[in-house]
Amino acid sequence: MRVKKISKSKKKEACTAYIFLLPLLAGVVMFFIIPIIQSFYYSLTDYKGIGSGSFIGLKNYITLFTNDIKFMAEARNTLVYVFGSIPVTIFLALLIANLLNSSIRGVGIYRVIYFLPNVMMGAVVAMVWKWLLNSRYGLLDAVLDFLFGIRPAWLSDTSLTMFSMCMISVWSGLGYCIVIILAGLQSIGTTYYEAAKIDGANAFQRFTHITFPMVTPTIFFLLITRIIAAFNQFDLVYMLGGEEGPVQESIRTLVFGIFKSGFTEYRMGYASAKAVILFLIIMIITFFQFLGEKKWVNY
Amino acid sequence: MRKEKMMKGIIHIILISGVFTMLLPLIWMIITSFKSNIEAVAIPMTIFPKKWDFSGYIRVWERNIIRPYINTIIVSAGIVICQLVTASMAAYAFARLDFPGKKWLFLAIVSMLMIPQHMTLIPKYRIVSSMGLVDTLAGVVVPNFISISVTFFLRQGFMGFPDELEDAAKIDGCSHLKIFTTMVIPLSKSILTAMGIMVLLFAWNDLLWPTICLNSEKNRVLSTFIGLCKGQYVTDYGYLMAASTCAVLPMIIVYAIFQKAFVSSITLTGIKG
Repeated sequence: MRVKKISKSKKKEACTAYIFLLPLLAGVVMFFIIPIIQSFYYSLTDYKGIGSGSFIGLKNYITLFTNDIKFMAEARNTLVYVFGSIPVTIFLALLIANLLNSSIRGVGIYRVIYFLPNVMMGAVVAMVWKWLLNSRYGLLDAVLDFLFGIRPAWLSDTSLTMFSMCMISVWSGLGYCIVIILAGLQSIGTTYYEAAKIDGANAFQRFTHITFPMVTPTIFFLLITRIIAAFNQFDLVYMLGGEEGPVQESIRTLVFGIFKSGFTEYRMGYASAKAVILFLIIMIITFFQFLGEKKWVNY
Repeated sequence: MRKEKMMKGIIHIILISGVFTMLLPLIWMIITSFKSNIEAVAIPMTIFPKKWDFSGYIRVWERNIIRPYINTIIVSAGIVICQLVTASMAAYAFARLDFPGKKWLFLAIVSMLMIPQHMTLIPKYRIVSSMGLVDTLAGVVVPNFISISVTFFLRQGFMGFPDELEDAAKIDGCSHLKIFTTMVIPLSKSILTAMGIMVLLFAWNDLLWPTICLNSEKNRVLSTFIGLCKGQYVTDYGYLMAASTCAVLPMIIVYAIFQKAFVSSITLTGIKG
């Protein structure tokens, strides 16, 4: 414990603290608190970007749920995208991180390369994959055609577009998860494994009884943060979907819907209602994850 | 022993095939960028360019990519500097100073991390537009001048210093400002670099906010410059891949140089606070 100081220096310290906090607080109020409150308010108005719109109660929400097929598709697409990409990413990352952690050479190099897609901007990731997956001139289809004689239209056949987007998302997000899981694995003491080896546990048993339970906090952390990040996905939808049409409708997510309603149709009140729904979905999912945490996460 | 060697061999084969998958899109991007547009879409396709062709890059140059480059550098530098300054100041207050309401204030601010970032797009746009900053580079920087997560991680870092640091400095008559600028900041170079890189990556790559905020040609940033090419039926792939290569190259170079800081920025954010 520190020695109790005279109140004058304490006052001065508090004063300094508030001054140091001022810029952050100003930013939090201006770009977090006020916008959050406004989002809720606008969702109850027909705000169009000019003036302040008039209060229309829950009409936006009623329209969303009863009279907007596109919104329903957006909500469904968002959920399919989130749950089609994040679990796969984390599973593959867990697998690769485990291989990297098996005292082999060149871990550093592998990690550098696996992480590389993460530094690329989403717009470029989308562009490059659009080229790779092009059904006429793309590399992947040339290989598939040569091997099996098929040419799937990855990004224009609407039954495949969502799958392709998830695949691209796994590719670009894998490295981040590997780095985090690997750090978690490396912090597990070797004594556990030595003891298990003496007891005659095989590699699979060591994984299920030591490794996995020890990295559950890391996996939980990744699930929470990656799922929120996936809900915020915009770049891939914007770049892969084009301006209008069935392809765009097959992959457009809620965030894209907010963008579209708000900034191309200028129905900003309506877009705010979508934003509130997005917020609620994320809250509910995160809440249930924390609820389920005790069942499988070990600390 | 032999069995173990074989196991390691298998592990390497799996990992190398993964490496191949990770690198292939990048390599294909670079290879295509050196093909003429005719060769890029030739059937049967060629793997390596028959003739190394720079016309893609020439067209990128002609469409004036320099402007987006400069704009992106300005915007990224602005965001990185603002966030590091505001976050380290606030982190210092939270980590090293005593003041009434500290615990609650910190909790309240950290709870904002739960808010999905794109929920507030519309009010944010209105605020930026009422400041007269729509279609200016400042309009991209201003809503991003603080970062709660960077504050959070810097606070974690600053809490690691021993109390003696301040006690000794106070006996010498140093003010908090002086302790902050002459001791805490210089001692935190590695975590500041890690955070700076994390922010740089976000600022350089962000597409949504610049798409909303900027619309004139002179204010384009690299991500929106690439975004222009999203049209479904663009077929000039030599050009597209050259532009893509140009847009990601700086971050790949930064990554190659600061590879360690990248990894530590990630593992840092991965450790539960």
